[in-house]
Amino acid sequence: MSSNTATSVSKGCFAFKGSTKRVKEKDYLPTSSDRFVQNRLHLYKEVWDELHLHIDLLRSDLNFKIFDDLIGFAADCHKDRNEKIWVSGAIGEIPTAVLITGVNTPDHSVMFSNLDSMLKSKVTPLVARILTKDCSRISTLIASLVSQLTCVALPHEDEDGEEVATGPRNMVPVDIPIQLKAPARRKKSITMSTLVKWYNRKYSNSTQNSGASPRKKMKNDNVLNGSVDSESHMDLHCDRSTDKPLIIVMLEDAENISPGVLQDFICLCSSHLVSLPIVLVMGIATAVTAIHQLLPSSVSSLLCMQKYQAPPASRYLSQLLDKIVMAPELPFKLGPKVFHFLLDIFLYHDFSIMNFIMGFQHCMMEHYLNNPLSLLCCLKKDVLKRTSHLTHSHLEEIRRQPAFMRYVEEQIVGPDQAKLLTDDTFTQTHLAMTVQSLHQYHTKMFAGLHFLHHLGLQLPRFPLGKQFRELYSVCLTSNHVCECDGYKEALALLRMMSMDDLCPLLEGGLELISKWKDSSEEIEKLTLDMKGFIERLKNIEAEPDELPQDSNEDTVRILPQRAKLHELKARLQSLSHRRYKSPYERLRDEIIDCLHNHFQALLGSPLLQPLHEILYFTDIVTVKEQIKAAPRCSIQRALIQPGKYLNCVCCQCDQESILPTMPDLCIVYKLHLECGSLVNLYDWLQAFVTIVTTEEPAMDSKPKKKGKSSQRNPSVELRARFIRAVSELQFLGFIKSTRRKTDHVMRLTW
Amino acid sequence: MDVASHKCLDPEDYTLGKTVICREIQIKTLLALFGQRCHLTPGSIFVYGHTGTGKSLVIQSLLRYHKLPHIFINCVECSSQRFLVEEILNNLPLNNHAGNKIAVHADDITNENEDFVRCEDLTDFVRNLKSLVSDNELRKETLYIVLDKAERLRSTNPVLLPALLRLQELSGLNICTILISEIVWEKFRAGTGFCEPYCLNFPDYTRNELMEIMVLDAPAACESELYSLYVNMVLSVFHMVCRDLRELRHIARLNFDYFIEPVKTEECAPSNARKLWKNIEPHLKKALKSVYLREVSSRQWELMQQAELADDDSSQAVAPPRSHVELPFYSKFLLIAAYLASYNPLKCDRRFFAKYSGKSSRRMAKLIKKNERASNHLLGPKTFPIDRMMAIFYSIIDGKVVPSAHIYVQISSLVSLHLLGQVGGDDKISAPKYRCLVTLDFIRNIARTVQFDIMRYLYDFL
Amino acid sequence: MVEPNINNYDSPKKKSDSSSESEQAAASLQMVTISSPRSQPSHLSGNLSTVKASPQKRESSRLATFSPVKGSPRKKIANSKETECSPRKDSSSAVNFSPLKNSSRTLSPAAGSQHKPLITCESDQAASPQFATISSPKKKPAPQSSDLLTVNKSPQKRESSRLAALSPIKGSPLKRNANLTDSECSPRKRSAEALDLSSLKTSPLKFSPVNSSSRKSRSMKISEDTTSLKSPRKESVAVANSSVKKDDFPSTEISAVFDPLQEVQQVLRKRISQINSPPTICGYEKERKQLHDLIKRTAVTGESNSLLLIGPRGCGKSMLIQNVIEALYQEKKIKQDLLHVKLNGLLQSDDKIALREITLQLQLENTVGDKVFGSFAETLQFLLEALKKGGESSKPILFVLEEFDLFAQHKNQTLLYNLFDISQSAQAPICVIGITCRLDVVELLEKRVKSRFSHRQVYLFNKLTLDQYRKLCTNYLCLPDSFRDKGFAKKWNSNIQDLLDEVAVKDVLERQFSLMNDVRGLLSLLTYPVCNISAAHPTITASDLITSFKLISTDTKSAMLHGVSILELAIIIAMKHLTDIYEGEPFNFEMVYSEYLKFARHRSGMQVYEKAIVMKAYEHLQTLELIRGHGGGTTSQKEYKLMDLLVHPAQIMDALQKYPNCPTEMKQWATQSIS
Repeated sequence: MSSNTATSVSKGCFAFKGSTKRVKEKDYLPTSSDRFVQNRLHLYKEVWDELHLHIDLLRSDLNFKIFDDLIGFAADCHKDRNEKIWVSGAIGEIPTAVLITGVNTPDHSVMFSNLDSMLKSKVTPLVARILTKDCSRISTLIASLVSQLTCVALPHEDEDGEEVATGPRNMVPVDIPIQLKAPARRKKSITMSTLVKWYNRKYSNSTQNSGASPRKKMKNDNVLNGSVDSESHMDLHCDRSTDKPLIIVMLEDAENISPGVLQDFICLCSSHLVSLPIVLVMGIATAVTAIHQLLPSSVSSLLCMQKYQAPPASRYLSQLLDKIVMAPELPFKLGPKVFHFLLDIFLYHDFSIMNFIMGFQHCMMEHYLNNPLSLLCCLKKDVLKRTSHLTHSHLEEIRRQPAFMRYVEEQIVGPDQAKLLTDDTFTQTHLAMTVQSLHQYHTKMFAGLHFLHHLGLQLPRFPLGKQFRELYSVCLTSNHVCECDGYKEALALLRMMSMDDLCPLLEGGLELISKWKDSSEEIEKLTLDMKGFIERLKNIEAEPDELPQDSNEDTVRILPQRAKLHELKARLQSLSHRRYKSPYERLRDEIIDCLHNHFQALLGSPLLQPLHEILYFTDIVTVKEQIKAAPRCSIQRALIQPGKYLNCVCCQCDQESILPTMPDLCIVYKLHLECGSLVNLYDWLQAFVTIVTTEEPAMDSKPKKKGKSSQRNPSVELRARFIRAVSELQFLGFIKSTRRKTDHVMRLTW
Repeated sequence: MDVASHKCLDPEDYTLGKTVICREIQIKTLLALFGQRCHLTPGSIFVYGHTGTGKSLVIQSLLRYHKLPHIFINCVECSSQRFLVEEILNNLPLNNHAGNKIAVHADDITNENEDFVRCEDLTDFVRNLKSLVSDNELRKETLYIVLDKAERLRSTNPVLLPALLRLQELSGLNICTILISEIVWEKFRAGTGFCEPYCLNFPDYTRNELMEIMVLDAPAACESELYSLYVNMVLSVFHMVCRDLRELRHIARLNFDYFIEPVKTEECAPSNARKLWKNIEPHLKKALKSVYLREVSSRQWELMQQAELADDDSSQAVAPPRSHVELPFYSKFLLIAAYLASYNPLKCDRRFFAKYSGKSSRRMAKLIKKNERASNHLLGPKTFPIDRMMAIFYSIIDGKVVPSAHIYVQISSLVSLHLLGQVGGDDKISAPKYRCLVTLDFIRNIARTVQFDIMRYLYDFL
Repeated sequence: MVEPNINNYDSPKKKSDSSSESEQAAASLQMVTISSPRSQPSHLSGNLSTVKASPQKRESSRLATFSPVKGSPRKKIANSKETECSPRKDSSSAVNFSPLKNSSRTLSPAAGSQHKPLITCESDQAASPQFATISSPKKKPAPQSSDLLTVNKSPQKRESSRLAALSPIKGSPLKRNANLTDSECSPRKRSAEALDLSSLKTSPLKFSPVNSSSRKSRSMKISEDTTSLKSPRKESVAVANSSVKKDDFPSTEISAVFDPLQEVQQVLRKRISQINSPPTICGYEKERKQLHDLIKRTAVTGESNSLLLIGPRGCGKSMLIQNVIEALYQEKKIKQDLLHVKLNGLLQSDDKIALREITLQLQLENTVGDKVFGSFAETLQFLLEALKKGGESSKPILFVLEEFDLFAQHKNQTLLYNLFDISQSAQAPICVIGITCRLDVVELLEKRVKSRFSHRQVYLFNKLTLDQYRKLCTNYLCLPDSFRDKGFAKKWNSNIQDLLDEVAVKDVLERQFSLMNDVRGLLSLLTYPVCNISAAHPTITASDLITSFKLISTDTKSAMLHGVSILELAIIIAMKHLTDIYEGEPFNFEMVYSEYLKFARHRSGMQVYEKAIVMKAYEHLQTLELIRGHGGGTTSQKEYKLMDLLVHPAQIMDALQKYPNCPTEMKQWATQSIS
């Protein structure tokens, strides 16, 4: 940026285009620390692609149901158009599908584009998506509508808003060339009737180009002559030919269209309804009442609204969790803290799926970036491949990891310990085995958890929680599920479950985990046992009955002899303990105990597994400060320790000391921390000057006298710097001017 | 046809071939004003009256029936002066080849074809109008320019309306501008250059007229006196509330099945009015609360009806959509805080939310009671600075919440959902002001989901 | 389609006898026609209905009239026709008619030549029935249907016969077209005078034919007018013109038959329409003279002037100017060189447009071509120069700027500046006259503009007294002396006179005068009665005036209030109370609703409606703009939007009185004051 181009008499600001440099991902990867980031990056990409596949699948089939209903509605809402109501001047109600999209606004555009394509393919070629940005005026709205329907790109004309008396033409300065002949040409005005003409022309006499719509076949062919003003009350009979394609107008985010425009648009539509089969699709974030709140009822009475509730975001989330977070087949797992953190952001702050996915992706990146062990965090099928490709240096890197060291010291005994640290091939195979066992463990655990969760769902007051994720989080946090009291309560409840509940329960559980049945022998065993039990439950009467006589004889022993009341009570109690057990009850106890043993085996906490650090991402701190920004704190930190941010050596210091080399803003800020609620500007200035000028002598320019004078009345430059700093502080919202005392400002933060 | 073709005033034409009824006087007056087609007509006529009093219908059918040359324009559509004048110029009822001109240019919207008359300003408009009209046989007849929903013209170029009103004078042609509106003429006079149009009022239909009209769309199955009985019942419920013919006809059409059903099933004779009334009344009352307000859309209503008539359990009837909105946890509390902030007087915040709500509170309550006169739920929500809302938020929420960016994002998203409204304050950056836009029962639902007893905190309900 | 046909069939009968009758009337003294105005129109109406009809129908009527010509037994009628025709010829020759010219004029396009006569003869048929049917009054329909077929087969015969019959009539219109020049003078007036020329020439016997021809001439003239209105581009196309002529004959057929009532309506409607030129001007003599002299000086001695004509609406400013100019145009010389440019603030919404308009009105757009000018002044200069060439001295121009105040709003008032500047520094003789209704208009002018304006202002105030007002009314209603049917006019005027002497009428006029004492008020009062004249209702009666007064003096708001539902009325009353309580402070829906509840719960047996329903009614009132938002507060819900009531309590009371079966407790509620 050469200054000679920038010299100007007027104080203008000049923009210089800097040379844009292409950023590559390797610029972001820390090159110094470890050398294997690249491989991990590739690995990350593989896994992420795998994940992304799942996510897309989920997205596509989530809204499928309501979309089907909606399309059905749209397709046949104009069936009855030939009836008398349309002919008589009765209210022409526009069939309207209100799509309640939920408050997670980031996710909407995807949804609408899906809907758009489905409508185009299934119902009619004429679908228009109106975005909020088109709706500044009714004319622009109609223009965009028409251009989308007729597939003609209209240049967006802005100058027809100028119908106010002082239009641009009046602004024309007189001394520009005047030409008396042809006035300036403008684009044609586009109105609704333009659309009517176009539609009639296209679809009235020639029906073959309406062949795109499937509704064509079931129609009678009454061809109408495209009368321009067919929106009259009189010549309607000839005018309705139903084999014409519908016109579907989608208003995404109808709440944020300015009410006036929306109102006009609806009125226009209903007035043209006779000649155009219009269907509206409105996207509403909150509820249908929003429309009533938005529009006067005279207008909302023109809509015949059908409500379609998109599935709540929470359900979306749980499906997502099942697919990507709590899926045994995917290697990468979240540690308990991170899991809860992401979950909280979703549930407490925004219901946005996008943000959740992005957070998850972020965690993955962190994992692969910072954890060298993640070199082994890959899909189960290519564990062997990876481990076999490990070079010596890789292994050295791994051995250097504290997690690995801990694992070797604590859990390995005997010669293997040494071999793990020295012998590469042994380490490879060992690692391979460990990772595979981790995967193995996951399949078992999730199968078990699902089974348990299924059992828990039938219990009163859900001791194990409604959602599967709750159970999962329990499993993550506690070091064994069987020790948490929710589990104990659940078993207690199971033990008093009636037979005709228990049997289907077990069967349901079985076929729930059937897909993992052959994956591991524990699950297989579990299924076998359960099958057996179910068989025995089926023919319970075949069970060997417990011999009843002892109970008989002790009852006869009690009854005859008289005794004192408390003795009687005590005896009764003792009796009630070893009371008679029906075969079903005994069988049930048996089942429950068996189940308990299985769960004991299956549901160990993942964090106790050997080398779980390979798959589990636990570094909550970094993620938190990256994802969940706290602007105020960071500003304060920046002001207190500028050295951290500017990483200049001169201002490295502890919290409260003030260095003259710091930026003025920081100095002013620190000074004002010492004052009360009201800060006297003059004292503040003095303090500022003293601090700044302490090291004046160090500088060569004009020695001591400046120090003296600047104490009393500081130089213009200093004052300017001070004022600037103060105003910056005010802009940051730490102080504000007050009228209570002159030349004071008020502190806003404490 | 040729009675119509040049003889306007004909005693038997007052019903326009039975298309319009109950408007004889108006039609008579209009016909008188129009006169013969070659006569000069008063330059501008202003027709006003309530919606559904047949203003547009009468005028349109009058012009059509007598084949008078006219243009009918809806001013909502022609939102700007340019649109309006070009619409007029290009749709002039020219009976020479201009007709198919328009047709030609209509098929592709963008191309620059010569037939389409462009018009920048009113001068061009009048010039073009003169030349267009005067070189075909229109010039011998009055040309009627009908502007429906004329109240919209007030928002456009202020000289447009006066110019249209004195179009006859300006163009020297035999033109009559007819404005149709449901707003009285006084509200149009703004700016200069007005010359008063001839105002013509369309009075509302009397009850008998309403009945007479509504009986017309009796279904073929039902004989008219039975239907008129039904209409009478409908009116007896709705006439107090609504005089709009369209609404009434709509309602009548929707509920007829309920009415006719006992007659169909012979459980009561068509003559037995009381029984029929007993039968229909609850339905009509229900309709007044639901369909009339479109809380249940007509389609849903019909479905309900069919369902009920099929098997009389109205259990699975469609419930009117209650405003159930699912929000993130903190957003709920933010909303509650906003509600409290905008419906509680500032003075009693300390009393509600201060940890030490000591003995001073009762005294303060008294003094507040003294100077607070009207209930806040009558006056509506007040605006509050964001700081106050955050303070309340932190005091009502249990457990500490770090003031992360997410919180502030939620505030803006609440604004975009129209649950909060941002009020144009002096500085939007440092101290934005908000106002809570939700109703009481909405906020109560929200509070119920988070087990927060909001009524305890609302000043009006102490 | 069915019932029209029916009265096609009966109409010929009607036509025949009616026409015969009218013929006898015409043939006998005129007094007959006047003495029976009651009876005549009805027949004529039937007559009219027949003539303009679907083509084949017209054919038939034509044939009906033509059968005598061909059929031998009717020979003598044919030549009787000849004899009738001849005086008409000399009448037209009296207006020195030269066949050469008309032939050249009509037959100019080779293509048009062969169908042209056919058209004109068609036109003639309309006229011919009357005298064709004199002898054969009754048995018209039979032959008609029969030789409909024959003649359709033989067109060329038809033509020949016609060409013979028709040549004489064609002349006169074309002659007239030739000598009519100015476009703005409206057709009918001309026709009126044209027609009494001719009627003077012709004997009363030939009344209707002459009338028909003159009427035709009028319609021809219309076409001429309009073509001269058009831009030269259109002018060149002769074919278009001829086709236009073809179109406009049917209408002449319509009015071919003389109907005094129609005439009356034409005259009176024209007066009350916007294109009005009042019968007489009363008052303003001084101002009129001043204007007259001013313009005349510009026109004759070529001095430049500028003047402002200021006065309230409807006090007759434009009318005055108009009148003065017409008076000036009586002089040939002025008519030749004084150019007249009319601008209107409503149309020329900015100076560039104004400039373009000036160019067009001076017919300089060709000389200008597509030059590009540096500045406004330069452009104007060029225009004046362009005018100058031709003669050595430039022609005087009269600029009339209506709605002058709007011009003052244009961007730094360029147009005014330049016009005034030119008039100041007498570069070219122009006279700028501004017409406005703003008294403070001079204050609107910028300093530089004001300094160039010769502060010559003429103030008009309508100081109409009641008597003048009455007189004016009489003038408006009376028929001019130029009215064709003298006797009828006399009768009519006498009717009007004693109509205006009726007490009721006097009273109505007085009240209207007290409401609005200018001409427009009077016109709006007269509109209904004038329009109401018809065959069934041939004169203006006092009741007409009274109903018309009722029509125009209805209070629109209470008329609207009459239409609201009872619930809405209740809400309005609640609002009224609120505005009383809070001294005109705005209110919101919640307050209104609680007020309404107070009433509905305690003081009435009326049904209490729930909030949403009342809300809908409330919104309806809002769309009727009976209540209006109190500014701002866009972000709040509709329940809390502050509103103002725009209906005056008196209007509410009025409406309550008129309201059909309004419940009494509501009346009480409305009347009772705040407690």
